[in-house]
Amino acid sequence: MQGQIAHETEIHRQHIRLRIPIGVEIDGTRFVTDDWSLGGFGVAAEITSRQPGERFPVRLFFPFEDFEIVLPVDCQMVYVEGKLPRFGCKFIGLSKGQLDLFRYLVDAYLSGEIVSAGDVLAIAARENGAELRVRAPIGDPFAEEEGLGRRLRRILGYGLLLMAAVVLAGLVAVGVREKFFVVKTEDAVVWVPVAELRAPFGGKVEAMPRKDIYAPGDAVVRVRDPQDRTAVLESPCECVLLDWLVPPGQYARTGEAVAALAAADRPLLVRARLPVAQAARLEIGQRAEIYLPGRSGPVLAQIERIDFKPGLAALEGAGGEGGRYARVVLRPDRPFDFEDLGTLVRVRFI
Amino acid sequence: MYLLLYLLALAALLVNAPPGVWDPAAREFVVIIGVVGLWRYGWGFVHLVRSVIYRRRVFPRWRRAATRLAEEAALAGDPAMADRVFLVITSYRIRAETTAAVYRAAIEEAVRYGGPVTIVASIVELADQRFIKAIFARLQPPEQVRLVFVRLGPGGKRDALAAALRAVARMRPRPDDAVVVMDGDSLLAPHALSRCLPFLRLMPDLAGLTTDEDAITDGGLLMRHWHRLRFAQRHVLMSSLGLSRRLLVMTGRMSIYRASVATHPGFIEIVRNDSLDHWRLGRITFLTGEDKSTWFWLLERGLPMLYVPDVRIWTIEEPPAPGFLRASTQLMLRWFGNMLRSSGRAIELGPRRIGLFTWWCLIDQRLSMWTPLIGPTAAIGFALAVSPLFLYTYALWVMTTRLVLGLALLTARERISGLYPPLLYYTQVYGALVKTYVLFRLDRQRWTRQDIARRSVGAGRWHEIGSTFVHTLALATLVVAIAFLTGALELPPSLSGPPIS
Repeated sequence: MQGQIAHETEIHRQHIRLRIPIGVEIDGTRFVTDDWSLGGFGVAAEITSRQPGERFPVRLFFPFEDFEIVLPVDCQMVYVEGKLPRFGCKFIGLSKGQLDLFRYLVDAYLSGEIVSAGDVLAIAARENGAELRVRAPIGDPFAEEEGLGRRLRRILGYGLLLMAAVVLAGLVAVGVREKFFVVKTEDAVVWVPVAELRAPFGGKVEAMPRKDIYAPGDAVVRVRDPQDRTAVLESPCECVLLDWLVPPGQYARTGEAVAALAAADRPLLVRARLPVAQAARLEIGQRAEIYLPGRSGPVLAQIERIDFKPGLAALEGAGGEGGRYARVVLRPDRPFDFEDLGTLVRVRFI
Repeated sequence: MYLLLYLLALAALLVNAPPGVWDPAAREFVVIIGVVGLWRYGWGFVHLVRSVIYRRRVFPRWRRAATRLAEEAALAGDPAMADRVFLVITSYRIRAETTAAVYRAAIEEAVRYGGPVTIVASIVELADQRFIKAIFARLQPPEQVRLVFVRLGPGGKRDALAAALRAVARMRPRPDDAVVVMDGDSLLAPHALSRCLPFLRLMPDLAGLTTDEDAITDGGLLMRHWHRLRFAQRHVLMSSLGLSRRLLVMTGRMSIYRASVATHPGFIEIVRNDSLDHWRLGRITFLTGEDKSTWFWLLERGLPMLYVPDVRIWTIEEPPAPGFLRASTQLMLRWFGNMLRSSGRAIELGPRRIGLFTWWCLIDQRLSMWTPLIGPTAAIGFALAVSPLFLYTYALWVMTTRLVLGLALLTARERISGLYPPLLYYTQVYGALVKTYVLFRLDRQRWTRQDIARRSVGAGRWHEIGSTFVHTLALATLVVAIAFLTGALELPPSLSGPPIS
């Protein structure tokens, strides 16, 4: 049972043959060994300058990650295989210091420990080849950063992030203002005062000759009762016919609106409906943006009138919520096309 | 029982849903949540399908080939699939019951395996040494089973594992020998070696493999189910990745490496000493996450990895703190920290080097820490901007989707719990918060049992402030973006373009 249990940290390390390549320089020519140990090395290459039995100095190169260690030693050629080609040498006359250093390098290679130059120097000065593993200190993680480049990079990074924070804060401020402090409504329409022509008595509606623009006094519609009595309804202004409220050929009752006319000589306005609380924050002359569907930019306008008077129907309770709304009339800086009349628009008061 | 309660709760919410929940405005909300959900769950579905393909079609073929290989070897009088097996177990301050169970299982499995097995116990305390010796003596294994002790100071798992691997290297293993790296709280299942090792022979290019895991948890109900849920999710994810023969971790609980890999100087070095250069935090020397380091070493060299889904290792999980919230937070801080410290450099390797799917999975790991935060933030945004009913709609959405996700785990486990859906949500949302916290504090590391911690020193105070600033900025950006999307905040038309009437 005892033979089955081992204490790895207590056993002496053994020298084994290594397949990790190191460099060997012989007579100025550098070879790469593919097989080496504390006893010697083998190289899979041809050599003509040395014969078996010859003693000569060599230089061993241990390549580490970022440095190389050169170890000068004496060795003796053991064999030269011309066919393979291959030759092997053994080390002779290694000093104690060389042996310790060599052993440490072997162990470092074998264990996967990448040693530092300081480690090697410490070992070279020691008598004993057994090296305790020294834990890498938990140092200052910023010690590596002391270079100007790293510091600049960090400062630049923080600078960019600060800029991003400022932009974000600006966006939040704008977003809060837009959401909670800017009055907007989608309950708005392009509008103009409308005149209605009403039938003086019940009768059939007949259209008079159609004109693009009716001058004041021009006949627009005629009403004919069953007794063949007629009444001609005239345009009260320079108007356009907006809509037939009773289409020609149909019967209109007494007093019923037959046609709607809009003044052609007055600019189109925008009529918006707003909750009273929001409308109270507005004032006559205040600027506004009007957004028409399908148009790229806003049309600027200003408030012409704010009407806080609810309709009579609302006062009587029939209008429900209607009484809590105010009507705002806006005059655009740039006149709308007449085709825009009746278009639903959005209004943003600025 | 819990599942039934969960279903009843969901049904009650559905039946009693106020009419406003189904209003057109709610549909708009579902579209926002749904787009993110479609992406997330679509990706989850891809993993699920790939994992099923792997477990039902691809891996069984490999398993048959491996079994055939093992049978042929047995007929030829060579039952062992590797000349030598090295079982490296690192233990530190693990409870004696756990240590006893782990070493007993390891020794018994070594005996069962039949070939030469060397158990390398990397320990700190003399008591552990005596205890393990006693277990070894009591079990009286045959001569081919050896026990080697590597005792070190309490310098952390990385040092302990590196020393153990150096010890293995000194034993001069052959390149195709197997090195099993295990935690001191992982139980090797019977026949795990004989079922895993044939793959090293079957696939000569294979560098390492890992297996399914499940947990025996020494904690409360929530902790127990949470661990089991996470292992079930891991099983699905690893199976999906197994199809590409690239994994996202070579789990420290139990992974098997070819000896030529495990004793490679570079491999041992990265276990012992791994670090990350961070533009803001400086050089971060890794304290934990040696399994992520070994994984990265394999990934960097394009070495194939294998997931063995039909071998399950049991880990004895001891909560690192009292209470579910504290314990799960500590564990998530460690796991996610390890993940985030390693994934950045793995992403930098690029899709050509590590494969497009694996690469995208790594990218997804980074994205998935933000996406779970969109849902609750959007719900709150809509609740503030439109109607509190959106919280109800969101609750319905969460309960339904997490139920589906929980049920999907039935492809990986025989049973699921009704606690899985709420725990899934907890892991996703709270886990995402923890991930974002860790992302900006990669320098914070801690081994809970050893009570070893590593944090910024020197200019640490300023960097702590910097971390808080960057973290806050990132979270604020997400919240502000969602606030604008949901209408809780509005951009003026000059910035957002003309409004659509």
